[in-house]
Amino acid sequence: MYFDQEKISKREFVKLSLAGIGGIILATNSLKSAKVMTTSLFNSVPKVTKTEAKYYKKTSRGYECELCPNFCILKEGKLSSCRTRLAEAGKLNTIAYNNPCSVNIDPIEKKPLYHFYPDSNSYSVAIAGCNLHCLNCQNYSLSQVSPLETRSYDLSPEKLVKDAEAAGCKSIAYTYSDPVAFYEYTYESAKIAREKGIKNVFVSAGYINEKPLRDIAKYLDAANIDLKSFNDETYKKLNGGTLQPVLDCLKILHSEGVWLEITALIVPQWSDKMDEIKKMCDWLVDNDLADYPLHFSRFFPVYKLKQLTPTPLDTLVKAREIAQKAGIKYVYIGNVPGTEANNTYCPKCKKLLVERKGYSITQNDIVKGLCKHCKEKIAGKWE
Amino acid sequence: MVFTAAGAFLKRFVLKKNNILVLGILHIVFAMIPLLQIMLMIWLRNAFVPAGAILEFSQIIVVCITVTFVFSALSGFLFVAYSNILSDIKKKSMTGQSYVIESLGGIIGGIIVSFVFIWFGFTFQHIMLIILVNLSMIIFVAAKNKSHILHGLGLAGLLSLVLMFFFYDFDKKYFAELFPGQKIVKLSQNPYGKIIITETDGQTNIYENTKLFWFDEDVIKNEESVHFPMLQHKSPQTVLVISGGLLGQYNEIKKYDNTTIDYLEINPGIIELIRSDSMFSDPGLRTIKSDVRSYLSDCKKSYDIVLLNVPEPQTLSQNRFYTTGFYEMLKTVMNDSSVLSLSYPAEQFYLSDESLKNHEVIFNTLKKVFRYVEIIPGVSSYFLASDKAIRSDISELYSRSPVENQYVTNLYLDDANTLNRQSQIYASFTDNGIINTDKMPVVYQNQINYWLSSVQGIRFNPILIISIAAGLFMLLFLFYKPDAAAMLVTSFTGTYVEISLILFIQIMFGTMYYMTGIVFTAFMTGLVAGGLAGSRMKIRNYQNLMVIFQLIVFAFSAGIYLMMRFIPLENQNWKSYLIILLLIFVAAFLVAFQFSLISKKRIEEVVKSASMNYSSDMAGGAMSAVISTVLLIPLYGFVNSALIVTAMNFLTLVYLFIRKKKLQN
Repeated sequence: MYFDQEKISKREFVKLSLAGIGGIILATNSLKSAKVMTTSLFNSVPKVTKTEAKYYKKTSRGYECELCPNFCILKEGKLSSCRTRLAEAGKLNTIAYNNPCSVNIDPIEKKPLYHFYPDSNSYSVAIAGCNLHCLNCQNYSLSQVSPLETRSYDLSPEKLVKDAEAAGCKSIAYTYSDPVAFYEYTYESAKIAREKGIKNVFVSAGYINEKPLRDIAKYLDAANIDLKSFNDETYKKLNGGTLQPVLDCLKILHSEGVWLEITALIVPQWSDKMDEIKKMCDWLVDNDLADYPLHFSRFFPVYKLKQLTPTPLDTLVKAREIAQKAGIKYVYIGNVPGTEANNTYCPKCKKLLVERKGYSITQNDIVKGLCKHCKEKIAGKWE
Repeated sequence: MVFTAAGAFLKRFVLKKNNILVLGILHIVFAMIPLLQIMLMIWLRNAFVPAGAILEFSQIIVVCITVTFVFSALSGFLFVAYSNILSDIKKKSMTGQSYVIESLGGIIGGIIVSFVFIWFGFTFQHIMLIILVNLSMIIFVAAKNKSHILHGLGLAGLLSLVLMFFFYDFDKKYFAELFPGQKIVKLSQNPYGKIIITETDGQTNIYENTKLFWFDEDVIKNEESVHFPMLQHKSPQTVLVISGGLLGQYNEIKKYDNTTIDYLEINPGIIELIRSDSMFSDPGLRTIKSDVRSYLSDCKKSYDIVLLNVPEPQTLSQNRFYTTGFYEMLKTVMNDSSVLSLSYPAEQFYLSDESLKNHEVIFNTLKKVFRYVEIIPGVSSYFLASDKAIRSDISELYSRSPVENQYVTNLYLDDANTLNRQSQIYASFTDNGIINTDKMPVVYQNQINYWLSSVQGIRFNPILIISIAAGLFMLLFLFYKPDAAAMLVTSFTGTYVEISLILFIQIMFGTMYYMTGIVFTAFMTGLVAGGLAGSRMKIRNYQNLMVIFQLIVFAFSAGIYLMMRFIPLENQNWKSYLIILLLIFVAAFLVAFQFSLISKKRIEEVVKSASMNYSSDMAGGAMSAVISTVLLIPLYGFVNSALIVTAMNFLTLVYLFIRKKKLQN
């Protein structure tokens, strides 16, 4: 190479170095402004409280987490796929405890839960992390990072329940990311909330193993579970999971007496095939889940799935018709303001029972859980 | 450019003796590659990327490398080969002249692309035409050299091209692949790019350059973007809508009595496309086809409401809509009670650090110009700015207003919730006071960081990247002989000047499709002029000449720094534009002049020197294209990055001076 053939003498090297230093001094002025900006990139200080995780075992390959179907095997110092469980000091810890990054008071209709104490408020809380990795996650800024990376509140389960109570909320919703990823915090909070008479709402993708689900279901009053598609391949490619555990979750929650509502986001090219929607609805009916509301939700391009169009309204309407024909009693369309498909109609006399405008109820003809007109029982938890 | 450099360098070792048949075959392959490149891109996308997903960063790199590798390497290889053939024929070094011929080809190509292709035909038709020209040239050369095999191959290629053209609609197939599951309703092209209308299950979607621009039934966005600012005003009468298609916003604006709308759209193709909509029969609607800054600098009107529907700052040129300079211009068409609204994408329940940074910078930048600024969190974050106090209780404002909405109502919006989300954003601000300007594009830099970290999951470490880039550049610099090393730096400087000045023009004049051809022609003309001047120059003392030349390059780069520092970007100024064109010409002139100088070798040195010099020229340009756009300008801004380039030239001057004796021609 040329610099081998033409070696630089010591004298030349010194001259060259001096020239280089001169150049650096000249450029220093320009570097100052960059320094301000680059240091300002890392200014958040996340709060992390560690507590021992539930559901894991030690194996020869590391700590095997048994919370969800991912069954992560973690070596010392490694984080789980959901980014909340850390193998450390001879045990598996969760770092998603006492440190929610988002706390809001939302109308229960926003979860969405339409048949669960309508018009009430839900104290909504999330800790960063999620055990699925959906390409279209609308809350990716908090679900696809670890609690080590988010700004967070210092909020113990006791304080959470106290705050929810003080805010006059009927329920606490464990939501936005996925409560499976902050299971221990949800579990402890739900236990305390139950004692205080506050309802617990589990808003999740339902990707969880049977034992932990049955354990926490004792304290849950309602759940909204995302049924992201009825195709295992789609689950693998779009969400990084599988279908069967979600179906199992729906059956388990039903058997445990937890009020259920199901959300199916219709994503063009992925979950908008009508034959699959038909299969999904048939499965819900066959498994005794036809009384639970089904929300078909409109997709908007977001996160990594930005090269698609939003779901056409006609597609959502067709999906709703299929579900109704299959025997699902309460089918709604979500993410579309102003549609009549937000209202509840009596499955027997077909009369309008609950009129929803936005997140508010402008008419409610359900009396003691019955249709005011024909006395048909309307499934749900009503005041 | 890296692969072109590699291809040029490779010619030193492969096919030392030029063979017309082999070169002809290589040229046929070279001509066909663009067609294969696009097909490969589509195949790679379908095979490895989930439907509708954006490419991962690693996939972008792999695709770029895969599709450009062979073409670029062959391009460099063929340049050196043809330049050697010319030198053999003329019995003297013709590398400089080859460079001039190549640049002339570039000028003609640039003019055809800029003035013909943008008006007529689509991508594959253009590619077919280019292949046709190349194959014709090969057939001509083959006939002249009596190479029957090559002649036959050329004719076979030509025939298959004609058959493909008539029996297979590549463009239609291409768009069908690009928008799977959507019916292509209309395709149109103008100098601002392509506009594609598709239909899915009764829903109309409009794409501008493959980006979804508008779609049916976007109730939330239409209502938030209009009513958040308009509810603030007692009686909004005059509304300026900047970009965004207007289709969704028109009916919302018209809910307020006696409103007149001035609708400014940068891309006239959008207006033509929606011209049939009934809203255009409204005498209260005036359409303006102009760049925003150009319109604002001449505008004498005062608007009650300004709706700024501009894209996210994903490119350096889009940064121009987020600067103090731009907001000051907007303020000249506003009065004391006017309200400006612009939206910035935001996650609803938690803002990532990077997104939060841009929220703060945009907030600070607006605050520099307007007395009151508030962020109203909706599906996006809406920044409302005015010299009159802004209210955040939208629900309350709505309940007092006569308009009737579907989404922006007190039934959907809860003021306590809005205020809570707003206070969470404000509480996370660091009060760093950083603002965004045309010359220091902080918002663009943050947007890159946001895209890398939040979407791609990559933590951007600027210091590490800068160190790697500087180390690579230094290695390359020391690898070359001193004159080729100087060529590396001059080429780096030339490309830096070209890129930064094109961005300057974009900031001043907006999307510069009409000017692209002129800028490109200025650069190529500079290359031709520099190449001719250099090759005709008689060299008496090569060593002194090289040092003096480097001094000139250093002085030029220092001049660029001074220009960056003192030319104001806020107002459009044709004198500035002419100066910029002249500087682009000079930058190219210097690059080509130096290339010609260092290419004046003895005939036996031609192969070696041509590949070495061409590769250093390409490598400098390639590194500059990446480093300038990804690191220097985003991180340090225009002024400071020009200072860094000046420092590089100073160090090169010192280096050449020290190693003067090693300079040989």
